[in-house]
Amino acid sequence: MITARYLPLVALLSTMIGSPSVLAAGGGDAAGAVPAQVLSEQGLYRVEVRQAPEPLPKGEHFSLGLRVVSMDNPDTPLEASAVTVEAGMRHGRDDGFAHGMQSEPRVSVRDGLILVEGLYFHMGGAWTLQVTIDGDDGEDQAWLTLPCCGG
Amino acid sequence: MSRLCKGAALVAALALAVSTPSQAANETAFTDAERAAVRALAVSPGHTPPEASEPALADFGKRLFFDRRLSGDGRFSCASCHQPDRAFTDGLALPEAVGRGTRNTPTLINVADNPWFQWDGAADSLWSQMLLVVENPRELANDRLNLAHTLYRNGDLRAAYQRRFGPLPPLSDGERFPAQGSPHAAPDSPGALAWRRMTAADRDAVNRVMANLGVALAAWQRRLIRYDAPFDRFAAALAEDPDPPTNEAFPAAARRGLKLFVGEAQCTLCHSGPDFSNQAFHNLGLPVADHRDTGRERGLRRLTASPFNAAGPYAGGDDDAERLRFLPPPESLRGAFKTPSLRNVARTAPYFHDGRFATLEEAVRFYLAPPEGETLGEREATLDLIPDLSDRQVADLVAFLKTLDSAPLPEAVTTPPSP
Repeated sequence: MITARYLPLVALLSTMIGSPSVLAAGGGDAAGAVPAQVLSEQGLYRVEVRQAPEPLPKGEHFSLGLRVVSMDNPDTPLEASAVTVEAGMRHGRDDGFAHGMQSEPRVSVRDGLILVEGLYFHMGGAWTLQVTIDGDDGEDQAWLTLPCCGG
Repeated sequence: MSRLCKGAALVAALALAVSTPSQAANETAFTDAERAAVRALAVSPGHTPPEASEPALADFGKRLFFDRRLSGDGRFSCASCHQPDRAFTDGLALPEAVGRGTRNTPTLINVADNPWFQWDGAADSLWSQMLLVVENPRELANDRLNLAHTLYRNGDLRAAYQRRFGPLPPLSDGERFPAQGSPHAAPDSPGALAWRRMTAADRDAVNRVMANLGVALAAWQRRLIRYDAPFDRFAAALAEDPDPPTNEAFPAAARRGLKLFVGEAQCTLCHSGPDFSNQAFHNLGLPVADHRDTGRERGLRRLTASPFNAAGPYAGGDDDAERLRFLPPPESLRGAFKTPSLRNVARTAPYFHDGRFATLEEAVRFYLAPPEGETLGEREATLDLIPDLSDRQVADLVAFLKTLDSAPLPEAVTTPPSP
């Protein structure tokens, strides 16, 4: 059958021109994993993701448990009051969000972790959590890519 | 012919030989990723409408739905705009009831599966959205005291109510319960003053009656569930076979449209899940037709101010108060409206929150070349992901959308009750 004969060639050509997959079309790596930790932009702080649902849910509120430490004092986690968060989708943008969440998360401390409650992803694709840290070492920001939602 | 030209001719011939079959393959066969994306739009196997847990309550709700006594002037019922034979819409851009409404009448099919109600999500439960309609001066233009009295003095309604909810308040006491009144009456109007003069306990008793009527209407609307469109049958076949045969109900154009829908056209960014809606609110950058209608911004303000929200004293056990803790600032969603379900979309024209588009094709083309004009709030940049589409692709998308019509609901559900 002519279609079948040409399928390998079609697949090869498709690979060569970098045809985007359907599920990645939303602008990010929707099939990736939640990062275990990230460094802030200036390298002042480390944000560790200690608790996260697997996979992250779509269309439901969920929480993350974070531990944030200064790189100069990594044994003492920062207080929740030093941390604010915002989340959105970049959709290929270098700066800023194409849109944010339709939920305003709250930050508190529970069981020694910084608990970020009220996260809500209404769209599939790669979300970005912007963590702003204002500690003794100064202000810095960390960016976590959060995949939504289970491929 | 030079060597170079011969080479070019060979490449051209190869390209021709390759393009025809590959195009055909892309138009009909579904990739694994596309199949997964279609699966995310399908209902779970074996999904059936929930049985009414209280049939008598649902029947009372149905009676209320068709009853014109719910309106202030006795001329309109819920069914005046939510007409069963029009997929529970009215076919109008904007509804005509006591006045001319400001938003297109949404379908009620599968409405019970929504987390937010009305175009702006001003209600967070099916039962509580009823009050927004009853007291809207352009819709049923009633007030809660008048409605409570209507219930009290009409034996059929009163008996049905009391069988489920117990005795009505002593509404014959005109001193305690004036004939008309509502907190939403015009400031300093007789209705507003009458409401304010009532004791808190009596106001609460009337509010409880309203909440109970909403509970009855919601019980009936939970029967309006239908997920059996040609798309659902195709999705089931696709789960078993990556290249299921076409048929009259799901023709080749619809297959191409479905591939576009879950792929290149990016429709599932917002029209996702079995209801083809992410149930979120988006600012599409629509030229403003009504400056007063700020969409979700207004909806959030109304929701948080309402004693009938899920955190209020009339909420039931199924209501979700937790999400009210995380509501965003209203102004962040100025000009945003709820993503409507696309189920039965071919039967629910006109389209968009103000019914500005008469046909499906017009609605699809809006996303390709948004009209210019003053907008309210900030247009969501997600829209920039939508590529330009050819006329044929637009036609294919429309052909696909026409496969989302469900079979009619059972007559027992939709036929008005006998008087």
